[in-house]
Amino acid sequence: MTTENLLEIKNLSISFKNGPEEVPTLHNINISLKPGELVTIVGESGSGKTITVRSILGLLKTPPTLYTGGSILYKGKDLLKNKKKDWREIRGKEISMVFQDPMTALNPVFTIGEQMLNVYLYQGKKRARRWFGKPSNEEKKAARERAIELLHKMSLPDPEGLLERYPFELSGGMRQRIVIALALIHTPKLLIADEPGTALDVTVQNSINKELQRLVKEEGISMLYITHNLGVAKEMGERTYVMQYGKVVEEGNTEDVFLRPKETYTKNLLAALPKLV
Amino acid sequence: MEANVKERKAPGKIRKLLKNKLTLVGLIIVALVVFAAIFADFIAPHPSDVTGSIDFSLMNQLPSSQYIFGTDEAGRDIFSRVLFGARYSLIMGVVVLTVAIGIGVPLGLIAGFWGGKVNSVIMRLTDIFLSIPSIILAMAVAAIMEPSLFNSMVAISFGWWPWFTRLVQAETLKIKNEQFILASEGIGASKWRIAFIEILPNCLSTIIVKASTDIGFVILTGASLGFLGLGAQPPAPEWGTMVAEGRVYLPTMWWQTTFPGLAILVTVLGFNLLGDGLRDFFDVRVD
Repeated sequence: MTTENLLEIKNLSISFKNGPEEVPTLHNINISLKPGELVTIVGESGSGKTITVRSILGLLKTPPTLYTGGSILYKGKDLLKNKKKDWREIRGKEISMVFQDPMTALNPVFTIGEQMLNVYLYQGKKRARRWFGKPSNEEKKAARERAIELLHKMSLPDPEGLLERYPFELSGGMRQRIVIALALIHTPKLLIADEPGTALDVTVQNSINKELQRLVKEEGISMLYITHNLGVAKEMGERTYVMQYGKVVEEGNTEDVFLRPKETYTKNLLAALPKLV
Repeated sequence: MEANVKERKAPGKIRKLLKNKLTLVGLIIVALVVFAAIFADFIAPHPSDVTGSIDFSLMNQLPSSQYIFGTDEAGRDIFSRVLFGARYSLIMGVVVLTVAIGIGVPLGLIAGFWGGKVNSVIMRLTDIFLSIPSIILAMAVAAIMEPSLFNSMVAISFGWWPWFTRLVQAETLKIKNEQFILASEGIGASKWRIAFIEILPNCLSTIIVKASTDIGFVILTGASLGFLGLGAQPPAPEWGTMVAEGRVYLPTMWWQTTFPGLAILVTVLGFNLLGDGLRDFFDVRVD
């Protein structure tokens, strides 16, 4: 029944512990994604988009987070039941994530090359290997080639030279492209993009989104794209979920949601869009 | 020359560091002390005086061209002894800080990163150590053990690590909430990797600055223990020990205490000036 969905969030509910009280934050979220599909989640700030996607990668600290119900099935396996060891196989390799703010998403003390190669060489390896093992020259070469290939695909000029640069030497747009390349280095099956363009200006955002879309299609990666920007949501996704107050209020083909919204909230959202002319 | 110096390469940075004249003075002093410590065998005019050769015909001589710092009550050349004393002070500073950093930094990192009970236990322990003045703690520890240079280093290290724990814990708390930490967790980095490979390098500049300002104080504390008889034992030419030995003759033979004392003063000053310069250098806000 679930085999055709790559990811299926079923009736997910999350509360936050605030002192003795529990504050319910997500209410029975249902989101599914087929292999190769591009899905967007739109909603205003605080509607629970980020919480939803962070829970997929187990990035919420428990406590204060409480999973009060539901499941997150990835390839039919419940991610909420994952042990620490299981995450190593998921994070970066199966599911990867791109964050909102490229200015702080790279470690300032390492060069781009060091960061990309480290992820390629050490992610998911056994502990002994990560601390004591030395990667062979072939592996290093392969890592370098993969890094350069991805930087090239993200339309970054002079990928070779970029590997030697530190994050602070690069612009926000370049950094976001690098962060995306970093997330894709192991060719995950699913990429979660948490508002990757929000911190950038509109033209840069647009071109990055275009490249992201092209790249995930090329590599056969499915993408869950979070945004509060309705225009971007319409561009990026084949299907769209609309969230409000921790609930999914509407879902459907992007086309339908935007042109023939059923729910009042979606209509209100669309009406709130500033008109250019 | 100018044209050959590439942009952003080390020479430009060093020039920036030395733009402050006081830092330059500090660096020169530190360089001289290090030089004296390494080459004491060659530059000291009377190296045999260091190990305790006694010649009463030369005792208590005023500073002169032959004995520029004078001689002490056993006829030993004070200048030679001060030069060799630099070794004790430098070894003291380096060893104590190495031990303090070796213990304090990992503890601070673990406390800050893991938080919760681990943090409480480590930080309360740190608070207990910090509540006792370090010189008193060092004296207590040194008094329990046999007085020697090694034991005084152990004693000072014992009281020094909490400062690094505190510093690194605070820094870790700040850095662990940065997005790149969450990003590396999301991409599959383990907790240990995040702590020691992502966070630790970000604390390095703070640790270096703290260490460079601390080294002067460690030398001072070491000399104090020596003065109290809890450090290196006579006839070792440790500066604090030398001051203590000369103290009895202070009213008449001022040079016996003055020159080792001056050596302590100048060395500590040099390290502090250099440390201040390094702090400004690493602090991006002071530009």
